[in-house]
Amino acid sequence: MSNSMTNNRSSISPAPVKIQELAKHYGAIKANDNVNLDIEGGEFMTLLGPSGSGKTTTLKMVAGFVEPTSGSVMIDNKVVTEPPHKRDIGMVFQNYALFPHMTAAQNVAFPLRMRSVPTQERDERVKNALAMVDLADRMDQLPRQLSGGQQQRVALARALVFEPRVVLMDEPLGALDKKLRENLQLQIRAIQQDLDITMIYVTHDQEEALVMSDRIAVFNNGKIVQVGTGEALYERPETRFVADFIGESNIFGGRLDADGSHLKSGDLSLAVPATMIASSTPAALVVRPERMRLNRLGTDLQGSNSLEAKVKDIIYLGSERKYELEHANGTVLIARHQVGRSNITPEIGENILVSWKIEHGVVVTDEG
Amino acid sequence: MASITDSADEQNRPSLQGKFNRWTWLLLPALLFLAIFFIYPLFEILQRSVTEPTLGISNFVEFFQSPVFSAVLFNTLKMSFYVMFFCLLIGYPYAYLMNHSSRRVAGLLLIAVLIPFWSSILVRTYAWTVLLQRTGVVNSMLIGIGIIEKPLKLLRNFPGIVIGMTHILLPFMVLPIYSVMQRIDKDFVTAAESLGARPFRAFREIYLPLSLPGVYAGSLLVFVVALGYYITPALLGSPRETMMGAMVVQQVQQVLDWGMGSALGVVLLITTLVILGVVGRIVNINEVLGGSGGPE
Repeated sequence: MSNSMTNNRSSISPAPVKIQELAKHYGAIKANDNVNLDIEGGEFMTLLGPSGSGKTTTLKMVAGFVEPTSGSVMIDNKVVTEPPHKRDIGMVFQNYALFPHMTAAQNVAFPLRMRSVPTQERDERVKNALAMVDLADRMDQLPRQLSGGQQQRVALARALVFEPRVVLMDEPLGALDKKLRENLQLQIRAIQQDLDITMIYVTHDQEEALVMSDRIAVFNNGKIVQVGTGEALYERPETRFVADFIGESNIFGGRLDADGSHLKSGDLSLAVPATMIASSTPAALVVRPERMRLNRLGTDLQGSNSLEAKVKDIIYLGSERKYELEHANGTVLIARHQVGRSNITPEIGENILVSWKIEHGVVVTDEG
Repeated sequence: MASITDSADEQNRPSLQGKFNRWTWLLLPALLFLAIFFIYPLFEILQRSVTEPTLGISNFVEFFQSPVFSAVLFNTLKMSFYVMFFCLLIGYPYAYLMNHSSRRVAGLLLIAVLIPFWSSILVRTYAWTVLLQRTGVVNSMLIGIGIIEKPLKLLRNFPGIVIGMTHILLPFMVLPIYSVMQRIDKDFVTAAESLGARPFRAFREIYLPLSLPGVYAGSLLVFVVALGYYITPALLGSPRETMMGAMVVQQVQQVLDWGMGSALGVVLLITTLVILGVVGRIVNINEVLGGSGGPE
């Protein structure tokens, strides 16, 4: 990947995108409801959520393919209402949507032809764009002569070549195998930073979102439930849904007691760190598996919650071991430890004491 | 759409180069049928065209020397071309509409184009004679809304045949185009628009080229089928618009010249093969006639 395009690029600063109270209703079905999102110029924003959570609908409203029921989209501080072909937004589709009757170069030249860029400049920019995605030697091949990964890179070059104000990507790597996907994730991220463009990226793959994004907006049931960096979402989820969707979690559902210091979950009473969540509302305590410690029975643990549990299964994952533990009341817990770093190495069937420091627990609302 | 694939398979029979095994014998009844009811009569016609009344190519010499026969051949080609043109003019937008309507509307449009397909040609042609006559529905309506003052002559002439044949052959145009359009990914046009193409430009540069295989297939089918049409031109036309089919019947039934009738049939067959050959050089016939492979 060369940075040949950076030099050509005019020095416009990347456009911020502001989504305000955006809603799309299909009759009684609310595909999107009250979506608010501020995206800075040059930011890589990922819309993450399960299928049907409304992230693609939001993307299509930004692109102009879906008319919002209410609310607005601002690009570069101006409300956009133009039809899609006038919005100057690059878009990459999951199925590539490369024109099958045009070569790679003709596909990339298409947006430049639509803008009446002179032939000579057009050829130059097409060449540079294809060189950027390492496909300079595939210019004259038809899409069906290219592999899936190559097709996706042509689609990327086509979406970038006309220097759009914003680039939208709708699950662009969904159809590729894992190795290729990881490779392209880094490549897309590098190009986005290199060209300093605003990127809105849709995916249902939380790992992909963590690898690529500056910030992530988590969608559920047509709404954004939390926006933040990957680290913030992982370490400080605000709802049970976010905790469950991003990474692995031990989740205890229940209610906070009157003084907010403990959470009652079934017959368990677990100490929790100070929280803003009201004591009457349903809440849950989230503990990440790598925060769980395993101890011999009878160990004295100050400042921690501890539960007696039986080791149900041990899964060896190379760099890690994953322990499945079961408390007497049937609650299943998960602990992960780097191989060689745990304080004890119990056997399957052994009874142990599982614990976590109070401050490693996160209290979240049990909704959304 | 089965009818299209069937007719397609007649044009490109699977090659017999593959392995022969005992299942191959299952082809025997079909081959026998073809041999008795298709290949033998064809051979018979070929033979008669060069043996009756005398051995030699006198029938063909006469065909090309007689102004009447050449005029009939030219007339046939012209008629087929017009019918193909009008089928395309109506059929392409019709297929486009079918492909861009809701499932229910598309179903109704499909039935609308297929119902006439299931009724007898004779019935449909007679229906047109009722509609097109001087006091018929078409003329009364045109006079009623003030487009014309005197009734148009729409029967026993060229326009009459074109109207009738266009109606009857329309499904052959609509169905191949529709089946190709269905395979065009809707994201192509969306992508073109996101890249800066106005809706019409996106259609012209992306959708239209991708739908062309259907256009070629439909046009070829309509043209070739129209070449051999007999009943409709005979009922809706006059002797001036005599086409090859009618001429064959005339030679055999009225002049009792089996040799000349056969020769006319052979000329029609060769004309068809030449057209298929020429079109085959321009486009991939296999693909056009609904073989494997998507729109490319």
